[in-house]
Amino acid sequence: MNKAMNRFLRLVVFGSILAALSVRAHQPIMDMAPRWSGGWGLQIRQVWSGSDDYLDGSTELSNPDGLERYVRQTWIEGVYTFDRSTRVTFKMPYVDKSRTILSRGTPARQQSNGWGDLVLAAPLKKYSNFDGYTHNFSFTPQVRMPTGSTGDDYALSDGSWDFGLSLSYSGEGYLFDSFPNLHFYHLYDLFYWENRKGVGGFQEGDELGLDVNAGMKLYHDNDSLTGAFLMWDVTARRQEVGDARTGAYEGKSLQTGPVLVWYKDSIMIRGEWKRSVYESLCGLGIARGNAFELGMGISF
Amino acid sequence: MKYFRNILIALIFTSTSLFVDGLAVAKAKSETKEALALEQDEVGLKVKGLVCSFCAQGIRKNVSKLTFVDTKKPQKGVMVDEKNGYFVVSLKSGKSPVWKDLFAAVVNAGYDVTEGQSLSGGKIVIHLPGAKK
Repeated sequence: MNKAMNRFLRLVVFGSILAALSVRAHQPIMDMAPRWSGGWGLQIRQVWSGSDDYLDGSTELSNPDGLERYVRQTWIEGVYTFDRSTRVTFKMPYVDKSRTILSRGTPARQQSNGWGDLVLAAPLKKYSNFDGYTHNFSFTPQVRMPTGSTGDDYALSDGSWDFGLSLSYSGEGYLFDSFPNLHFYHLYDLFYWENRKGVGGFQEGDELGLDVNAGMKLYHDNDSLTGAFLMWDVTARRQEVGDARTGAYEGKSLQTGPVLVWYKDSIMIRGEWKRSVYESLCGLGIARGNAFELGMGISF
Repeated sequence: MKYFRNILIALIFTSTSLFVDGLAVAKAKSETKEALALEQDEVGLKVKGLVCSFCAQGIRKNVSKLTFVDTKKPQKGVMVDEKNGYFVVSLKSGKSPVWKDLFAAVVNAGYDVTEGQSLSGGKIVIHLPGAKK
């Protein structure tokens, strides 16, 4: 009896965590450009993430059943800049995800794919320009619309309207007298998503996060208008407990890794690898794991 | 949890220090003045915040639309020097720049103009935004 109950609890907790842990890029795209009035941009971004690390809190357990979760998201994103202080953005993910869970005591594989939830946002920015340096503070209200399917066992969406707020600061330029040729870039973004109740009472826990990017320009060639940035990323997330229908969940994670950005004229390519360095779940579950991102954007 | 929190505190502290330190340097830099190297058929503009080469394309896009700009020159007649925070505009033969339009194009591109410069009789003439001509 105890063994069966234990497996049932593992299944419930594990399934809930998988549903809640889908990696989401939270921030509207293209912090750097376009900042000119009437400018617009498009970006496509691919995110691979997942893990087969089975955790109890922050302790890794053996995983003889091969439980795992892997998610691939393709984000189509767009931005329009009315003037440098006002932008609107959209982000639409195509999600392809799979997992192995315990179903009646035996490992079962589930898979789903399709369009996910559309995210609309209105970044409001306050720029300040100096000789050799520029920075901006942003306040960004966001809404996530329930456009994804709620139908499968491994649903793409919880069917709820979610609301988010983001506060961020970014700046770049020649900051340090000691390093007059060092072109420094840094971004700090603190955000909160209120995840509301969706179809059938399903509800993901609210999410708090902090993203930090800091790095330098490697080179810039004025003739070919090409250049590259090398940065370091820190991604911290805390997701709160959902309601009883989704099972108790609380998780904290910290990922970090390098970011390489290359640009030519109006085209930008960004690659990013995030390694999980800390993770703690409230109970049993599969870790968020590492992530790799590759994106390309163009502005007009 | 403590490990997680300590890392966040360290990050916030480090970033705040960098920001305050960097802002002081940026303000000090704004006090420097120097003449740009210009040809007779060119004008130059010093621009605050012009350090981002990727986003500086907005300046090229806006300025190259102006009728007096010679877009047949390299980079559509708008040579941006993001390292030193200025750009040089090539003028069409016999055309004079409309400074008000130039300044507006820079502001619409997301930046702020410090001053414009042109050559007259071999001497640099300074043009300030907002000044009546």
